[in-house]
Amino acid sequence: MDTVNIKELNERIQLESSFVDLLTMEMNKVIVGQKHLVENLMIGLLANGHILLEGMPGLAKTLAINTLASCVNAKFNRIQFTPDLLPADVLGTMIYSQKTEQFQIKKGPIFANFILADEINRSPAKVQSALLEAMQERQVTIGDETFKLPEPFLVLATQNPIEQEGTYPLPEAQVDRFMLKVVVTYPKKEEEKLIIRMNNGGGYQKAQPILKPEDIARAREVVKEVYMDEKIEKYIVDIVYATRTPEEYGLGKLKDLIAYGGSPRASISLAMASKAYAFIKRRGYVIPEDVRAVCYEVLRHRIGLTYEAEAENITTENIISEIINAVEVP
Amino acid sequence: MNRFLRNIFFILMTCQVCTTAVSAQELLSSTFSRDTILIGDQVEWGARVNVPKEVTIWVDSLLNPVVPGVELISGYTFDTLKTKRDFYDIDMKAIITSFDSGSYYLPRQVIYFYKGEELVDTVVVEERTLEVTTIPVDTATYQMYDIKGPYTYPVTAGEVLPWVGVALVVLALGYLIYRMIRNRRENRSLFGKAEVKDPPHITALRHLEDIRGKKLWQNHKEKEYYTEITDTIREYIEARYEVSTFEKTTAEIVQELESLEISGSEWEELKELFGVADLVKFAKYSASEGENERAIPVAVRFVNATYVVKLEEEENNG
Repeated sequence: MDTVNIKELNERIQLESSFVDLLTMEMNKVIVGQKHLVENLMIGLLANGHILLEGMPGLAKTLAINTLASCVNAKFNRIQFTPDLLPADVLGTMIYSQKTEQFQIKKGPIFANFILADEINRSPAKVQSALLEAMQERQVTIGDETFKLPEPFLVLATQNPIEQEGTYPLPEAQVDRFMLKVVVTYPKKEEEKLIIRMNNGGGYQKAQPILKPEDIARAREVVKEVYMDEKIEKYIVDIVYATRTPEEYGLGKLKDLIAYGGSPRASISLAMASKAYAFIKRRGYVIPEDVRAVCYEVLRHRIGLTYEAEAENITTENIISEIINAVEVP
Repeated sequence: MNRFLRNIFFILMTCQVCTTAVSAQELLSSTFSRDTILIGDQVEWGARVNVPKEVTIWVDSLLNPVVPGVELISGYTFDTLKTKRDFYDIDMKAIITSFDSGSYYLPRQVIYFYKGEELVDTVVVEERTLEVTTIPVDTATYQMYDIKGPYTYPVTAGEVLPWVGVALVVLALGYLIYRMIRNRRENRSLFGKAEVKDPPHITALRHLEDIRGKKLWQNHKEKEYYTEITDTIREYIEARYEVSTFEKTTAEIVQELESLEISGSEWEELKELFGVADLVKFAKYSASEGENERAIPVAVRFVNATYVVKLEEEENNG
């Protein structure tokens, strides 16, 4: 029998999540609009999941992650993925020191709390694999030595949806390692006017560090404790199962449109992201709304479409909407 | 004496044969059923000939037309009648007609007598005249009639019954398919009795009464208690407002119903009930005794209030 004291947990969460508003405010000083992006960055940060950002150039993807790193007072590195990049350029390598006449370890840019892997699909598979392995294992081996990556460790990879020439699309198995795929959209008219004003007027503010990495580690522990009822677990499993066998949920029409559905990692990610979302909303328990709120970001890159679906311009978002509207809410 | 009698008999027999032979060389009168006919009438034309038993007769086939203006309908038919001990009467008849009025001369016919393969005699059937008359048209009183329409034969039972059978089979199949579809929709067997559905509010109130009777919260089954109440209300809303509720979250249901301009104290109470139910279902919240006791009355009040509104709407709409 689970002996969770929800009242106590709610109080703890109220206390521990107080930084959420501060962090949001600090980020909003620099990032105009993009609330959805900021919210998902926090979900990834709290749920300990990496994020794949997809959006047109100039939508403040780099600025957002840079600001987040500044707010958390953590180390931030940006790696521009190019076709001639090598795994050693990311992870680090052994270099010979003439002074000591020994090989010394030179750690790569991956040794930071926040990594922006810019245009990840521009590098060949071996570099992508090196990064994605590090993301999964949270450690890197250089020569004979294995190094743990710092905590918190969050990778934000970006990819451009329009230029496909000379790119190396991420394989499905590797895309699955990103907890969330966030699609960054254009700002609204009013927001864009404010962006112009901020940039031209010189009133460009800088985010102040308000959190330490230890605060994030502590918040992550609390997020893990967010209560998830069996009914919610069943709801999550139903949603993920509906991506695999839609016909069992009265969605026979989707059967020929889905090449493959979400993996068990999708269920885990959906549960963790829902908990993080509940935490952001200052709740000690998950409700179906939390699951729905993160459903698109967790599942959109985990559902494979068939040629038939692509021919009919059906997107994974359409599939997810159909599933959400068909699966019974507890 | 005996010799004398035998000679007499021989002489008589010879005379008899000679008489027959002589008579055969004479003209044989032809027979007619009628010698005057109307245009298109048919008449039997032929002859009767008396021949010994061992003799066979041969007649040349009649040509068509027999003579110009006289048509042959059927050629000679022969009917043999036994009249005497060793003689037969043979009736030969042909059927002829004419489609033109006038007097027609029917030529002689020759009958050949054969004994075995030997021609023993010939008989000639005399020529005859056939009078063909027409109907005189009375031009003074003549009245023209319209062409008669096609004759409609009455339809017999034998013709109708197969179609009636086919129609009955099609009707029976149609009815079976209809029942099958309807019963499948209602999850019933093919020959299950039709289920009369209660109106949504009756079903909801009955379910709520059942939930009350189960005494769930009194037995520490609060989660089950609130799940059953909210499911009943969702079912009612779905039937009453035709809004799908089972695939929506509480917030979505509230938003949807508020867009339908549902308001009032009952609605506010129901929203609170939904909130408490969510806490109990998803947050291990222990509702107070008062909240538990209020839950069913709140649901009942909402059902009754919205049902009354529906009745008023129906009355206003006539």
